[in-house]
Amino acid sequence: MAKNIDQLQQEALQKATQEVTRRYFFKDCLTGMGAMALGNFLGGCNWLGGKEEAFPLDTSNPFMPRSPHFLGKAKSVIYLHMAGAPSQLEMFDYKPELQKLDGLDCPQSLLEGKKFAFIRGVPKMLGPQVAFNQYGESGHWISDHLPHLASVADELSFLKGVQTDQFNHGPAQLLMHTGVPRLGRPSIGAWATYGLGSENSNLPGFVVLTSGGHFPDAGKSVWGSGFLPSVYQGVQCRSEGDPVLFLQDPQGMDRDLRRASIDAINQANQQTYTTFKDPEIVSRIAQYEMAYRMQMSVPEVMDIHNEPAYIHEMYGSKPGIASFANNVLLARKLVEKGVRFVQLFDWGWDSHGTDPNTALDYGFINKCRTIDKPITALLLDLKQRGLLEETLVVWGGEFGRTPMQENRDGKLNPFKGRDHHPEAFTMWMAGGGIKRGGSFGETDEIGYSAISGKVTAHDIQATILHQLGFDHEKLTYNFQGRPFRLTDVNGTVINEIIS
Amino acid sequence: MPDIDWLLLIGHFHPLLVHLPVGILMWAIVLQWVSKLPAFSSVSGAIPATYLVGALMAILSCISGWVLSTTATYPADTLNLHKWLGIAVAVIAINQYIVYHQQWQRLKAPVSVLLLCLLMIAGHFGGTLTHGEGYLTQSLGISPAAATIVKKNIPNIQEALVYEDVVKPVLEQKCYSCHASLKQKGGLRLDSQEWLLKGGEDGVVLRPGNLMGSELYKRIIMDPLEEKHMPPKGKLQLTDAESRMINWWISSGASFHAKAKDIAQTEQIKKLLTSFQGDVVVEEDVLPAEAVDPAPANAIQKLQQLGVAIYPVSKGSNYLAVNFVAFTEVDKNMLALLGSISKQVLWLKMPGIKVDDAVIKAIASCVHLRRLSIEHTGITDTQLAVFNQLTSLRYLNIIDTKISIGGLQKLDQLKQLRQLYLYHTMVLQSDVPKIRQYFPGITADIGDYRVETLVTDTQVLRVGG
Repeated sequence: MAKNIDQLQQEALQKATQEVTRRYFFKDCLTGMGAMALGNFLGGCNWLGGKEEAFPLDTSNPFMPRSPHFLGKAKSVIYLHMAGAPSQLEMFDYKPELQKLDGLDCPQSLLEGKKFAFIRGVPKMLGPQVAFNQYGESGHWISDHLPHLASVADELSFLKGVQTDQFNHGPAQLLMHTGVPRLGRPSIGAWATYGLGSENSNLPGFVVLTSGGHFPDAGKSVWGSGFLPSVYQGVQCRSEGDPVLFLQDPQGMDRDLRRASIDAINQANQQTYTTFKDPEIVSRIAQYEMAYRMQMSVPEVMDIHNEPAYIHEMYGSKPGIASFANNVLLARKLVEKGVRFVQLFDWGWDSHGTDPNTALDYGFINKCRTIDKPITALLLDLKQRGLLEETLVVWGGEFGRTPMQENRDGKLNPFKGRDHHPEAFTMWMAGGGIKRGGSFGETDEIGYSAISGKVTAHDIQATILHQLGFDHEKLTYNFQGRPFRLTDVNGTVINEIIS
Repeated sequence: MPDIDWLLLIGHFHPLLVHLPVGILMWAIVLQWVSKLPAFSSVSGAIPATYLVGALMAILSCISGWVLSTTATYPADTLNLHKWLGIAVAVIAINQYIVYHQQWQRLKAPVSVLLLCLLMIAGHFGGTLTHGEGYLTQSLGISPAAATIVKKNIPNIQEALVYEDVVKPVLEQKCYSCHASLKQKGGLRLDSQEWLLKGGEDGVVLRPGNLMGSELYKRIIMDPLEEKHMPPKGKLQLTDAESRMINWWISSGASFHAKAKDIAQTEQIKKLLTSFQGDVVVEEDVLPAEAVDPAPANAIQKLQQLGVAIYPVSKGSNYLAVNFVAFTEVDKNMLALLGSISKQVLWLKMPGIKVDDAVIKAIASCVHLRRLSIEHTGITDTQLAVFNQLTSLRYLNIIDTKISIGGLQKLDQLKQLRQLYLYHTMVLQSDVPKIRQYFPGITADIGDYRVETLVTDTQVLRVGG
């Protein structure tokens, strides 16, 4: 019996040594060690190489200003989107040859294999509905619908060969602003504020202003934050009434009481944070604080009553109403106050010719008149304030319009209008390190398709990010297990229009 | 019967032979490990023989490899590693056969793992020798060779050296991996003027002025399916613009010292050239050449906590941009903090700030300041004069202040000043010629632009008038 116990003890001791001795360690772990050594070795080869460290994010202060990849020329962006797609053929893309074909049947070669949103059968060609002239040292062709803008032609750099693969408003707008023609991706303003933060801790970094009576067809997703933290979505401000809805204290609540309640909420949140250490709670506290500061600063910056009369005269703005001109003036004020990205959407450019409002010889001209003076004023005002060189102004729609007159369902429309056209349209950029008086890209003789200098939404996005100091391939956000970027797998910076 | 170079023939068999030991030995290892499963125990009889065949093939590979190494030039370091690792594989494989023969049970597993590791590492270096450094990783888009090439910043392509700034970077990126110091395939090096002109085993590759006599160009534009096409299949090819640049350079006499503007250019070449112009912002124009120590981190942090926008002007730079746009007043505490980072401040914005002498003094202490915005303030001519010591200043924004031409006159040390914004000051349009005299090359903007109101601006067109 005693011997048995001895044996058992001996055995237990041996078992124990197996756990600790070097001999057994090596015997048991050899395969693992080999694999580790191999892993280390391959790691030394820099397999996944140059690991770009993720953009560190301070959740307690998501708008803290941060450095871009390199020195960017632009500090802010004002993006003027003409929702509905303005006709390049009546604004910037002068096609005298098209005039000669006016009223003739569209050649079959232009229709074969093509699909249009509304054109059916054989449409007629439609010449330019306005006269053009050349302006400035740059010799840009600008139509008579834009007499003011023509006077600052030399500030602009045109992109005349912009193309898209979407011919419906919603998807095309999403592609232009989020890089993908479907819902769910962050918009370019969200990417910019995610990358750069905001210079003014009292104001949102990304502000959206709409005019024209409707939201863009793609809805609020064109200024959404997608999978980026939601603080980066565009804050929609209004030029009449309360600039930001639900920001003002309700009647009977004074600012001290508001402060006290926020303090109490913050305290409770702080306690929860000490228990759970969830950074989202810090983020929530920061958002309460920011909302409190915005209650004071947003109404102030959004108030255009205090602007002098000659400024209103310059922009054609009128306090108290909702208009594109007011929004443009606000954009200048916001940029002056350090807002990073101001996005304007002006609805009403869908010139099909189905009614007077969408007729190239009525509604379209009225639209041109509402933007001509304000945009010209914006460029000059930014310039005299020393802000144009650090503010990138981008103008464009979501696609172009056909050189043919629209014949909805095969019947000629009652007014002169053009159908959606993804194959060629014009955009322009100014300020923010863009070449003065530049032009890139050409369309064929009738403006049907781009023949050189073709650029896409991704190229434009890459260029905007480049001007802000970002390599668009490196501004990424990890989501669902992989890094995402605005330009997906595409995008080339358009060096031709960069000064 | 032609002479057969037997050595070369044996050597050239190496790339074929090496795959045999790799495959056979791997299979032996697989068999060894699977045989442990009861269902596959029957395969164990085949293991020793497989190891033996693998070992013999490894020996043959070693011999042919050694022969090959004597007939061609490879980077010595990698070659050495590959050689010894290859020999080790052969030795260990024989060893494993002996282990099996002698039934040394405890050694079987460790030796097989060792063999596997050696096989992979030796194979990897073999691959590096034939395909070049980074072949494996280039598919991941992070080829170390390409990553280290920093695109040179060319502010004005017409002033750039055609060989140094345009041609060489292309060769560097697309050709050096096989034709430079590391490797000289075909005995050809392309990494200097001498080597380029000397040519390779098959003769001269570059004949200045004679495009079609220059093998260098012919190989590039050759049908990519041809065996002689360069860079070889699978390697990064030259872009159309790049090959056209090489065309232009060779046909214009392949000068190694000429500037772009000295060589005749067609419209097309001119356009192409601009695409080689730096796509990087001209940093030396904005960033001081001299380095500066990092600013004290706690000062930056405190300013950030107060709500001041403060950040490095670009990633990795110690120079700072500071923006007080959220404030109307800068208190003593902030000024003290600003003082502690004064050397690093490159851009400063203080729009609408209440200006007193303490503020002016703090700004004036920022010796490297390039851009200063102090618009919408009560700054006086006398206070402005203090900034005369900010000799690096390039941009000064004093719109909406009481500054007069007299104040500007006192800034005679600001030789670098290029942009001056004077909208809504006491400075008049008629002062501009004088300002141009004080600051040569300056853009002085008095502003006060108007956009006249046309009748049509507010007219709304309606059908039927």
